This record gives sequence, structure tokens and C-alpha cells, in this order.
Amino acid sequence: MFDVFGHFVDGLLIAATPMNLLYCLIGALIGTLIGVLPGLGPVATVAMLLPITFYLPPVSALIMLAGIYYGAQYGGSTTAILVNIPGENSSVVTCLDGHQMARNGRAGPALAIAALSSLIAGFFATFYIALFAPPLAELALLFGPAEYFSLMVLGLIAAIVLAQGSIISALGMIVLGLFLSAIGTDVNTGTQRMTLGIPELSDGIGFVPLAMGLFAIGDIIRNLEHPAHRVVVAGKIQNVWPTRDDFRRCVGPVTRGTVLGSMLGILPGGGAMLSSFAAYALEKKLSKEPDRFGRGAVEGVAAPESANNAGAQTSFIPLLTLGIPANPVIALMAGAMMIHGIQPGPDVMTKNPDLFWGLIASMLFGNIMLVVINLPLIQFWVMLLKVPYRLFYPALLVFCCIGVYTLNNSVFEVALLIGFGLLGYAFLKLGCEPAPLVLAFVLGPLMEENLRRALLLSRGDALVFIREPISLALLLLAIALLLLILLPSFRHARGATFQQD
Amino acid sequence: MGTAVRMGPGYIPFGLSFILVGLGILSCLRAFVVDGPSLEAWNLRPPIAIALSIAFFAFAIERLGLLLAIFGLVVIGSLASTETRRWESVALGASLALMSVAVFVIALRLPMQLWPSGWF
Amino acid sequence: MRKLIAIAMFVAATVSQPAHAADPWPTKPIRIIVPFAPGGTTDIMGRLIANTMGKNLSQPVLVENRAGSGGIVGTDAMVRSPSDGHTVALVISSHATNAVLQPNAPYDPIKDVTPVTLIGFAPNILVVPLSSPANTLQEFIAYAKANPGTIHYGSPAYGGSQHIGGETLKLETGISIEHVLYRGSSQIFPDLLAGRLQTFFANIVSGYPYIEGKKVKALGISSIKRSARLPDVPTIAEGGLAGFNAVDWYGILAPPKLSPELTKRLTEEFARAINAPETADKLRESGVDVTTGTSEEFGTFMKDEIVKFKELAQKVNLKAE
Repeated sequence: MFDVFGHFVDGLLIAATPMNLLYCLIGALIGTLIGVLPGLGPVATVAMLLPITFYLPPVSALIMLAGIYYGAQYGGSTTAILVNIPGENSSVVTCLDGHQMARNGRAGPALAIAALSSLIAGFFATFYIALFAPPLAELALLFGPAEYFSLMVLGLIAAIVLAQGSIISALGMIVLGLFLSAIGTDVNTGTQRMTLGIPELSDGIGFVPLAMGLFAIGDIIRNLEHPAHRVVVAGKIQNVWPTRDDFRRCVGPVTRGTVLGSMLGILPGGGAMLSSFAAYALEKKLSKEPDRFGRGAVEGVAAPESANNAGAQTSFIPLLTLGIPANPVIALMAGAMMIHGIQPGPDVMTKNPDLFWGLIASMLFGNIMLVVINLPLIQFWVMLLKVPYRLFYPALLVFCCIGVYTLNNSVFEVALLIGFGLLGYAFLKLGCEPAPLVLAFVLGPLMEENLRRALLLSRGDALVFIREPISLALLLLAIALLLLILLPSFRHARGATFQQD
Repeated sequence: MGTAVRMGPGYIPFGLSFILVGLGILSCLRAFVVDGPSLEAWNLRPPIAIALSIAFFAFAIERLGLLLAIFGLVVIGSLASTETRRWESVALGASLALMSVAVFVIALRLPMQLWPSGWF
Repeated sequence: MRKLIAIAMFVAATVSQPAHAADPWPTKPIRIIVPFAPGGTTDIMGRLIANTMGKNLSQPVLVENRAGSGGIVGTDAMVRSPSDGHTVALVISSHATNAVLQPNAPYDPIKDVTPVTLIGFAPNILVVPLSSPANTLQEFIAYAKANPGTIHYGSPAYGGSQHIGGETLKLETGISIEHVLYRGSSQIFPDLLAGRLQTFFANIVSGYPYIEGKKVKALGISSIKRSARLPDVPTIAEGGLAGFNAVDWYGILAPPKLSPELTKRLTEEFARAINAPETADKLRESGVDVTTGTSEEFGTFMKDEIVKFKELAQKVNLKAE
């Protein structure tokens, strides 16, 4: 334990050198910028910046790249809250209540809570990585295809909680999301499925056109249709800072979100991705007033934001201890390490302690810098919302189009954006919420892959899912959650729950 | 298609489509039992204008270049709102086009064509 | 941020002398299309080369990712670009295997491209978890024969060299091991380390840290010769399977009908950038066997690869879509 403390202090000293602080700041700034600009995600940015990291010492390079990675998470929540554009799967959940808060004239408090929850989660996650990285890595190895499948089942059940309306509609959206995610090349046989012979579809539908279309474009069309619906902001922007009541409500959600994010983040096969959804669903189930969720509940911003940031940081654990990158951005950082002649993997901690501890300690500084950058910006963002909507929405269209196009230089994805925009509009009109669809879309491929892989590896023995203890526990949890969701609606089958307002 | 143990590529999509049909029927049946809120009238102007504007962008970005693609996107998109005046949408289109060039092409150095090819 | 790169390149370019100042090429930035997602081995390789090349020429060299369909989408974008030497694609072995596995590709993998140069080869290494009873290739074959049907091997791409390696192993030894497809090597390692998966051919680039860190046992390398990076790992041929060879290759292709002069120029410049110590050393460090050559050599090599793969695909029953 003292050993860890000593190393951590060493790490702090490395991260606090002026040069490393500067690169940390550059990373945080770039990350915030690309997070705010939709489309140009952290993967593309880190890839573009990779060549200049050749000229930096490896510690500085990785500190900067890591700063971009978690900075983008901060910036992504800004666009999600202000204009309902989810740039990444983690910010989809932030859209739900964050944008509603903005509509209620509370964009300022929403942004501030998002920044502060991320900061607290970031702090906690840093110490958590420092103390427990090696044993946690072993834990990550316990998760095989069967366990991941059961985890995804639990995630899908939780997706029902995301919706407010009828359970049947929510289930329909989930199945539709799974269906859409099945488009593309079948991972087990390499066969094309439902691609209609379009080569662009062979890798499946992109997440960004889907989420941007369903959320942002659908929302724009809806706003234009009924100028009255558009309570957006202009007139009634209240104070920028959260109230004492907001803070009081957030204590529990931030604590639980951070713990959940730190736990799920260590699973390289999609854990971090689940964390913000899971945290939101958990808070909604625990809340005494679940009806407030989806209408601008501050807890619905605090919980997913903290989970998301904790998850983003703990997803470094599998890389630094096992050499397994949890997502494409971290895979790029592994590439950066290899360029510097450092092999990511089990030996980083012993062979390159400076790098390991310097990187972890820099996350503390990075998180503080992000809050310092982002809090003053809130004033500016809120001011932007005062622009009349007729001038504001064309700018949103421009950002969405360029964002989608530049992601893969693909005209086809822009065309998808139209389709999903119209679909999103129709969903809004019909009272079907897109969030469960998006979650199912993200989880679908993982679920199917792991299901089929588990069955292949067990030679067709379906009992593998209940024989493995972790998998069994997750499935039982899923059943319990399902009962918890279904019971009240059975009880009030003819009562008020089915009424949508 | 395959069996549950050796699933072929079509196994899961096929199952999903059945579940979706089932849910659809259930949802329809429920409509006879539970009274929901009545649907609002449809106003086709915004969805058509927005869809056309993005379609124009998709068509133009690799043929006419970034500047014209954005200008057209904004001008056509502005038709979705009844509040926008004509000169406003033209001025907005021009300034957003210039701004995008500044941000994406000059500052971020994304490789994008600015003008119709062969112009300069 | 690209501006930063451009500035770095500009500074570098003003320091170094352009080799052929009189030539009209390059007149604008050069695009290297990488037909895979950012962050993969191919992407990083492209960026390493682009970086050195940008310094050598007084023009920026940009990497553009166009992923999709096992490389078809990006390669097609290159094929349809003007043949002016300003657009090339960095392709891998899948360029040859696609000819068989994806017969409906919108271009002909030989006729619709101008070969520029090979970049190099990356061998695969047959690895097993530490818990495996096998310590050598022969022990593994004996173990597999004693336990038919219980051993699974993973691979990150259908029809990729790791998959072909596994199928060839089956064909030549008569063992019955079953293929499990994953989405990338990074997904395979957790299952292998935990012993849920019994073996797989790991690409040297992603497998090296695990072999060096003694987290897995290396039974054999899939190339004809041993790798300088892992000199202690015997080849599979040494283990008794003479002539065994299933490696990844990387190369640069340009659009069709590129003039011979420009082709020569491109080949020279790419070879210069690839063989420059700052690129070649990094590539070798990650396990790539750097091998550049002429356009003709690369063209012949690709034709041979396609013929070889066609035969193999029939023997091991790899299906086209």
C-alpha cells in the first residue's frame, strides 16, 4: 500500500512538470473542442495527432492523448445538453434529461452539474486505478463470452427503464434497434446480412448518423412544426449556477454513478459503454419520483455523466495491465506506445513505472483543468441559446451534416442521416422514445457475437450461461429487474401508468 | 438459418422480425383497450424541407464543393421555418459556409473540396 | 490540430532538400487512403509513412480512412480517383483474398490498379495459453489428435491470413480444430489468456508483447524464415510442416493507368519514406519485415497471391459471399 502511495507521488511529480502540464492542457482543450463539434470524434483526432507524438517524450504524448480522450467526453455532454446532438453513445443518455433541462431554461445548471459530476468521478477513478489496477485486471479476464452475453441481457432489460411511455412501445424500439444492428457483415461467418448489396452497409449502420438523425434532426423538425413546442430557452433562462436543491439531489446519483462506472469500465468488451445507461436506469428505479426523469431531472444528468467519466478512465486498466484496448481511442494510444517502443501490456507497470504512474496522476490535473476550462464557458453557451431559433437551426444542420460526412468521408452516411431524421421525427410524434432503440443498437452486435461465440466454445451447450457463476448472477439480476419493471404495470394495468401525456 | 446451437447468420434477425411483428400486433390491440392522447395534425413542410436540404448537401459535397453544399443546405433548410425571411437565409447561408471553411478546412485541415472541380 | 502537423511538416520540409525540384509532381497534398478504421495496424503504418514522406517532399501527405467491406470501399475510392499520383491506397493481404471472397467487388484487383511498391510482411505466431499442455508444435498436434473436436482456434477476420493459417494447419496435419471468428485480435487475447480459447495465430504486431512478457507460449511462426524480432520462435516449417507460409503483406497501390514516369517517381518516393530509419525502425520494432521493391515485382507478387489463395480456398472450402 505504501509502495503504491510512493509511486503515486512520483507520478504526480512527473505529471506536474511544466511541460507535461502543458500537454495535458493542450489535450484537454483539443478534447473539449472536438467533443463540442459533432462528428469529428476522438478517434479521428487522436489518429491525426499520432504523428506529432513521435517528437514528444512518451509520457507527454500519452498524457496529451489521454487528455483528448476524456476531454472529448466533457465536450460531448455540452452538445448533448444544449442542442440534443449525441456525438457518442455515452452522451445519448445525457440528451434525455440534459436537453430537457435546457428547454426548461436550466442549461446552465445542467452544464455545471455535468462538469462537476465528471470531476468527482474522475478524481475517484484515478485513485481507484492507482490502488487496484493489477487485481482488477484479473477480474476482467473472468469475463468470457457467456458473461458478456448475460451482461448485455441485463443492459437490454435496463433499456426498458430509459423510456417513459408504454412498455410495449419500449420493447418494440429495443427489438427494432437490435434488428438495425444486425445489418452488415455477420461476424461469425462473414456473410452479408440485409445489406441490399450496398457496400457501405457491409460494416453496418454507423452510430453517428443513427443517433444524430433520431435525436438532433428529429428534434429540429419537431421544433419547427410547432413553434409553440419550442419552449427552448430564449425567454426564461434562469440562473447559471445550480441551486442548493440541485446539489442535494445529486449526491447519491454521483456516488452510485461513479461506483458503477468504475466497475463496468474495467471490462474491455463494452463495459464502459454500458455504464452511463446503467447509471441512469439505476437512478430512475431508485428515485421516489421516477416521473421527473425525462423531463429535466438533474439526477438524470449527474448519474450518467459521473458513470461515463469513471468508466472512460478505468477503461485504461485493461490496456495498462493486460495490453487489451477497450475501445478504438485506447487502441490508438496502444499504437502510440508501440511507436515509442513501449509494449502495452503486463510489463508496463514494472518496466515503465514513470509512464504508468505519470499517466494516471495526470488524469487528476486533466480533470481539474477541464472544469476550469468548462465552467466559464457555460456563460457563453447559454448566451448562444438566445439566438433566435430560425437562425439557430440551420447552423445545427450544418454541424450535423459536416460532422457525419467527415467521420468516414461518406456521402452514404449523410443519406442515412436523412432517413433516421425522418424516423426520429415520426417517433417523437407517435410517442416512441428513441433512447432504448439506440442502446439496443449499440448492444445488439455484442450480444449476438458473444451468444454465438459462447455456444461455439461450449460446443453447443446452452447451459453454459447458468453454469458460469458470474453469468448466472447477471441473468438472475436481469430477471429481478424485469419483474421490478413489469409488476407495477400489471398492478395498474387499467390504471394511470399506461396513460401518456 | 441454422439451429439454436449452430446459428447461421439469419437466425437472430429472423427471430427478431417475428418478435417485432408480435409487438406490433400487441400494440395495435392495446390501442382498442387504452385511450391514448389524440395524434396531432401532421405538418409536412418542415420534414420535407429538412430532408431535401440534407439530400442537397449529400449530393453537392463531392460534386460542387463545401461552400455551395453548405449554402444550399442552409437556404433550402431555412424553407422549413415560416419565420425566416429570404434575405436572412441567403446571408446566413453565406456566413455559415465561410465559417465552416474557416473551422473545418483551414483550422482542422480536413481534406475537403471547396469549389466545383475544375473551377480553380 | 492538423495545422500543427502541417507546420511541423513545413518546417521539416524547408530544412530538407526536395530531390527532384524540376518535376511537376507533387503539385498538391498527397492522399494515402487507408481502407480501414483509424487506429489499426494499417492506419498507424500509413501515418508513419505519410509523416516521413511529407518531410521528404515539400507537400503534406494526408491519411484518409475509408473503412468498409474488408477494404473494398476504400480501395474503390482510390481506383476512382484521378491517375495523377496524388492519391494512393495502402492495402493489405485482403486485397488478394477479396478477389476470391468478394467476387462482386466494383473493381478488378489487378487490372484496375497500378502497383507502386510492397511495404513488407508480418508473420503470425501460433500461440497457446500458459495452461495448455502443449509446449511445441508437435506436442500441440499430438494433443489435438488425442482430443478431436474440443480445440477451438480464433481469428480476427474471415479469410485473413490468421484464418488461412488455421485452416492450412488443419489440412496439413489432419487435426480437427474449430474456427471461432472474433472482431479483431484485441478481443481474442482475453479468451486466450483465460484459457477459454485454446489457440490462435496471432499477428506478430499484436502478439509480440504477450510472447515477450511470457503470458502465452509461442509454438511456431508462420513465415518461411524466423523473425528477427523473435529469433527464438521456430518456424512452423521447422516443426515439421515444410513450406508452411501464411503471412500478412502490406503495399501501396495507385489508380489505374498511371504513367510509367509517375509510377517510377511514386515507387522511389515511397521506398525512400519506408526505408528511412525513422519509419523502418518503427516498423521493424513492431515486427514487420520491411521489404520494398519495384512496381512490376509487386504486380507479379499480387497475381501469384491471388492464384495461390484461389487454390487454397477451394481445398479448405472458404466460401465466397
